[in-house]
Amino acid sequence: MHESGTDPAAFERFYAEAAPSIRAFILRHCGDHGSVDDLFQITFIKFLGSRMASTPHAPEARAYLYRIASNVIADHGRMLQRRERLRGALQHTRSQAWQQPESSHPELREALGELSVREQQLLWLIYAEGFSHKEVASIMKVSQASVKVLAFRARKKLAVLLSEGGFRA
Amino acid sequence: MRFLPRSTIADSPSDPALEAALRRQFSEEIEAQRDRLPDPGLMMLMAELESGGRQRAWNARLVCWAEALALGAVAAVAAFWFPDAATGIESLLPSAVAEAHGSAGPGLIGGLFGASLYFLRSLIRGS
Repeated sequence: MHESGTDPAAFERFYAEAAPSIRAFILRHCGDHGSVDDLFQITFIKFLGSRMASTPHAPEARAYLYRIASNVIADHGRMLQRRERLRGALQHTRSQAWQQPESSHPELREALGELSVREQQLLWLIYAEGFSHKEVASIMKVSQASVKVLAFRARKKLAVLLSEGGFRA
Repeated sequence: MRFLPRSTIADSPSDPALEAALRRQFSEEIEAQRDRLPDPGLMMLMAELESGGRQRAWNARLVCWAEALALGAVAAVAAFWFPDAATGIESLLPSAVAEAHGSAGPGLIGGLFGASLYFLRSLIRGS
């Protein structure tokens, strides 16, 4: 048993399941390719410092981890905005964000990049993680009804963007 | 793989083909991260170091306050037993504080002494 009350074997199982999607989530939404590793570590360190770390097998642990990641990304975004206001170098930082791996649907990836970070996060939580609207509402700190509306709008916006590019599903 | 006419996909954002494509896209992105993850043991070690650092900072603050309070108590006792010395210190204090001292007794001098020691120590440490 770890000093913090975390069972290393249970954490390793949880990490193997959750870490790849959390890293991909941060990579997609942080807007700063160079900070992905730091944000990923901060997310897990915060998780391990929380009470939830002693029960990583709990069904809500994954949603809790996403809530931490979402907050870490938001904090980082605010820090970047402050820095960019000082430097006036927004374009440079944004251009570094999309050094993503090869995709079988580059047009879909491009269209997703046109959505706001919040819309992208919403779609990710629903389609990559399969979270319910209730869980998404808890992670994104909005009402359940808002999730439904926001998800519809995001899909609609994405569909329009894709139809403009002649998307092949 | 099928081709969706423009009108279909734009008019029906809940189209299963779009949802399936989203799932595939996100799944590819997740799979691409599997070989880029730090070791979970390292992550636990870092969390432990972080938590240890926070605990040490808290302990140091606690010790600092305890020292200041102990010194303040010693000063208060000394002021009680040696009133001449307390009167000497009183003359060094601003008049408003000295008037308060007149009614509050040597405890005030002890408290002020302890508080000033704490702040002096905080300043020296830069915390």
